[in-house]
Amino acid sequence: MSELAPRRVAVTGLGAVSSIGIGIEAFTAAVREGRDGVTDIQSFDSTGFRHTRAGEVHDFRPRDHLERLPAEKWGRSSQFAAAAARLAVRDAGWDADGLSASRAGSAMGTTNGEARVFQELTEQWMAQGIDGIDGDLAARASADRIAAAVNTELGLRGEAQTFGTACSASNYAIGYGFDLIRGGAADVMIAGGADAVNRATHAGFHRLGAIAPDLCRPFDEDRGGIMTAEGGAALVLESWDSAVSRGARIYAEVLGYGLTCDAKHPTQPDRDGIAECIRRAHRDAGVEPDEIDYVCAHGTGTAANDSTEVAAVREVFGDRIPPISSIKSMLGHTMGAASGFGALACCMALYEGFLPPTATVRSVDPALGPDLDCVPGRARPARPRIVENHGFAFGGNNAIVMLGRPA
Amino acid sequence: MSGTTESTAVRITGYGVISAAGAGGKVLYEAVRSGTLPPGDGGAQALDGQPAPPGVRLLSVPDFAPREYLGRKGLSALSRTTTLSMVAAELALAGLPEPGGPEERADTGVVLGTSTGSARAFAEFFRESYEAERPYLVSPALFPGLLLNHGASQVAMRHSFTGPNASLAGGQISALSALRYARNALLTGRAARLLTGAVEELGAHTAWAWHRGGALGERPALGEGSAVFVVETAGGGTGPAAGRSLAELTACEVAFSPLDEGPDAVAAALARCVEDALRVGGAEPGDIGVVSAGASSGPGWSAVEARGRRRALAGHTPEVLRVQEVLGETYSASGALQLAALIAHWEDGASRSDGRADWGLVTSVGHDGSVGAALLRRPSAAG
Amino acid sequence: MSDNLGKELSPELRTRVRGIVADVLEVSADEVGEQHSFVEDFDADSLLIIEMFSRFEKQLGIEIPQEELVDLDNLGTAYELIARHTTAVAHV
Repeated sequence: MSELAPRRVAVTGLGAVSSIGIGIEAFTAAVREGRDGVTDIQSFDSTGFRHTRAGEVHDFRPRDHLERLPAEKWGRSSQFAAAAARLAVRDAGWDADGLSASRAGSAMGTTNGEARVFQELTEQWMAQGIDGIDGDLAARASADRIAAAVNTELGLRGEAQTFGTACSASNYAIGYGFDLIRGGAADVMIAGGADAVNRATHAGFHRLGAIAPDLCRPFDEDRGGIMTAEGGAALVLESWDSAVSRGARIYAEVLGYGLTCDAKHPTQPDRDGIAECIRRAHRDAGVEPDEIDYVCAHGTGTAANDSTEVAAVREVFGDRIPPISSIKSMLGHTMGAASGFGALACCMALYEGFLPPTATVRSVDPALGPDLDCVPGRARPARPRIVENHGFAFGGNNAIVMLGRPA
Repeated sequence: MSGTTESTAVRITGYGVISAAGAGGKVLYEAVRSGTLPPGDGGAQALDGQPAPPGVRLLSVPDFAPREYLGRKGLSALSRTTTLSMVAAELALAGLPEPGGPEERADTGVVLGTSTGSARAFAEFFRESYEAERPYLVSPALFPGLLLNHGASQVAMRHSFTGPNASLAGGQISALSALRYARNALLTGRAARLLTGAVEELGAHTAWAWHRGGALGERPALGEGSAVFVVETAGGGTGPAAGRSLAELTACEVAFSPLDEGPDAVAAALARCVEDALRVGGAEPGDIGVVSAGASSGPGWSAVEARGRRRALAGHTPEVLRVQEVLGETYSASGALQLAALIAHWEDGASRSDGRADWGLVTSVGHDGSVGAALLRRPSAAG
Repeated sequence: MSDNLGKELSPELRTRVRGIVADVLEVSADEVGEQHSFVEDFDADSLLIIEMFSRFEKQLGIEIPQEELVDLDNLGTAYELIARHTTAVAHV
């Protein structure tokens, strides 16, 4: 199974189904302009909530993107995942038969699985009693269907792994795909994540006082919290040799990743756990802090996250901390897809040469300390060489992926 | 840190299991061997006042009392899914010869399989939002319990395990997904010791979902439970269970076959998994002495699994432990309960007298096209 | 606001508040004294503190502004908080 020399892992395709654009071109254009995708909630009746905005994908028509998956038999999270994966595979230039015949699988992350299916089942339960739920709908409730949808859509015969590690789950998936390709157990892995806006997630964060009224403003003095959001993100990970032999475009190289668990609090982030996660990621990638040119923050826009994340970054980086921005300022918090979108932004930043912005920040919170460059407003031209993609989660599930400019 | 290693064996040094047979491997194997369970309450405790679907046997953990294992504090906001996995983890740790020291916690992690987390907790949280005076007046303490990673993170919090903490959703093959992930994390040096397994909770919501979905077959029975295994790299000679091994996890392979290619393709995918596992583990079809079968419920699925196994085992017919026939459909927990039954079976009997290795196989087929196979070797014979 | 701080809760309301607190902390009501710290003496974390606020709102029919969801660590503070907001409700 293991080969003697670890193989390099290339990112050759990117797929986005997001509130700011479908397809990597539209997504990247919006990120560079600092455009947000926050609108009034349509996914559920938001009457009675104080905060009623979210980052929903309104113009998603699964059939526009899917070639094989019968969308009507799958939940919204699975549809997002399969569509993002299809877009990524097209972007990578893989033909369907070639990919299906190769040693290829998928690893997809999620926070709430098929939450919209649960939402609908609960409505049936309330209206008709527990014996009145629809069996076909219930059969779509399992979160493992998210990766299964990707494999079904693409005809993949390798593994279909769904990570339920909440809001860092895409980074877990990318890390796992990296390990499989590096060790020789797979040649291609589709990695990413998906989640759907739903009433329970919105209510839960609302109750915690963590939802912003208008926009998500990470690092801002007057930040209001997160914006619940949705979407699907997918990356085609592929062995370097495979990418080169296909003549594929290589956006970035996956250099390594780190995982830690805070093991302290069900919802609060922990500075020590995050700092150790950053160190593990650096060690795994064989890089030093002064080599890092940009940090794509978890950056949810809550006071607890911002202060803890920046403190952990300062602990590892010392006096010189790299530019650190949050694309949640545009997307909101897409939960299990969040670090997948972070990885997409990182890959495009490396490939096209820019730093993604914190679009909505007005006045940087002085409590976060001096010289915090959170790239306010719009993207900034730059030539980052090595970048770091953060993902943290309830349950203290920290996961950080390191990406490098292909060389 | 994460370079590949020459060793591909992972030792199972402890395990804990709770099921309709009760707590522990001994009662589980006794139930599988005899085909009978201790008298239960017909799922009354798990249903918690909700009606049961007609004609479905509900095989819940008898008199499940998490506080007997976990203490009385901090349990009220935890779902049955979470407490089942915590109890299995507690039993697994209690079975180790000596507890791990504080210095090992940074390299100790938790990897659990669960497909929905607690379906009941999720549905009830939604309901609370609909019924509360204002839709956001839900219980904050219950909110983290909606997530699939709640069980794994609670086990980590209880023991300050700050190593890799992962939750994998894989339907019927969830446990094999978790075992494979754990094996990879150990062999790439990302952890020194992992608690890994899977969990499934029986409740009214899932029972009705299965019933309405019509996927339970002719003698419908639903079960629940959790099994958690302490796994370590084979070379790790300084751990709390140095030298001791209940079994070696020599391979764990999972794969997929899109359902639109038909059931025979799923059987072929399982056969491929078994063949890959044998190759990785260095065993021949004739080495397999026992198979712990998933035989996933529902019309045709157990035939698919048996066909895939037959194809890979090339005419050899090992003993088969039919775990599901006794415990019912335990979905995400099934593979973990199968593995626990296999280990308990080995603990119960003598090793082979001819000096050849005892090998065992755990197979699983999901309803979405997922398949998996784990290859185990009995340590006494392994030397 | 200073007017309300001096306001005493009725014994009945105090008993209910203490009951809610004890319920969240998973101890019996007579185990929670006014001298106790929820965090130090009962291992409460911030999530349980928010849970207390949530139950005050639900069970006592009051509404506590989001920005006050902090610094609740003993019964005395809880009584003051409830007094402040029950009064406000009564005057609406």
